[in-house]
Amino acid sequence: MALLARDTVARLKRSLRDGVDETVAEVQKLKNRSLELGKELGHFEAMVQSNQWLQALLTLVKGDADVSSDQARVIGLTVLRGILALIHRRYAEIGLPQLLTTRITAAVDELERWKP
Amino acid sequence: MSSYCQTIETLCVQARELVTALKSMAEVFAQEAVRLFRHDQVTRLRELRARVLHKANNIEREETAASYGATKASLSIGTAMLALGGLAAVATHNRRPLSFGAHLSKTYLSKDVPFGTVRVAIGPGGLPDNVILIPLSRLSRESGKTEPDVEAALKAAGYLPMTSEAFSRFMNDLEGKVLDGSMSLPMTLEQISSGLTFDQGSSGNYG
Repeated sequence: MALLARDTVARLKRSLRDGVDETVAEVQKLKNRSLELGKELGHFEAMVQSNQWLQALLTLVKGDADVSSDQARVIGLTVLRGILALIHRRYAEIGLPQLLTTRITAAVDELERWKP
Repeated sequence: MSSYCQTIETLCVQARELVTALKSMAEVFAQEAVRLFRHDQVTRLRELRARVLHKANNIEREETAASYGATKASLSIGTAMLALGGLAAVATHNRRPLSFGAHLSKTYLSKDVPFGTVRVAIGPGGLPDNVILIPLSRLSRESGKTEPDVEAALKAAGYLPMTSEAFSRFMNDLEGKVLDGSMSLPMTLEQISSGLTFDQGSSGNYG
């Protein structure tokens, strides 16, 4: 009886140790992955912080006035040209009114001429 | 636990993609900024060329008017000299009074006075601020020197004179250089001379 009990306890202990080891390994893996994600996010954050164009874009999108006219012009032109290219490629699908295309083209021309 | 791992893995991939997208976006903005910078410089050069050529045309028109006035005046004086010479010859019992008058008026009319030559000159200050127009013929008339002498004096003072047509071609070349990024404003005369090969018009070549 005592022998059986000892054997059972030993098996339970082994099983518990295996479970704990497995969990520790999983937690370790989770920790490593989280650190990796943190690094990527840090990279992302640093990039936004250090790049003048991304900063300006953020400021512009937020509607803050703290962006230079030169930067606003560059970003505005890039975005408007992108929209024009999209319209030209998928004109039928998008179904934009012609007037809007004309206005965007005019805005691009004005921004090109603008001397901040 | 493994589903958390999977989620974090997915987030990692998305973060990497975002970083790549941000990099490309920043590059696009930077390239657009460079393109706009060059475009603005070309616009400045075109405005400068238009302004200079307009002024050169005005000076050329003034020269045409001055030339017309001078021709008219010299014809009147020449005619008067022909008449006076004839009268003087008659009074002095010269056998060929008309010949004497004609000699006098011919001597006066053959005086070669320059008109119409205009030069665009880039000064030591370079482009775009140091471009001047030189009414070469007028300066020559006023100073009593020949046009080549006036032009030589300009060169000696560090100016780079050229005809309006040569200036126009030179500005075309310059626009190309600015657009491809090999030159940019402001430019000193040295940079201009070493960066471009252009002819000066009638006055010779610059290498």
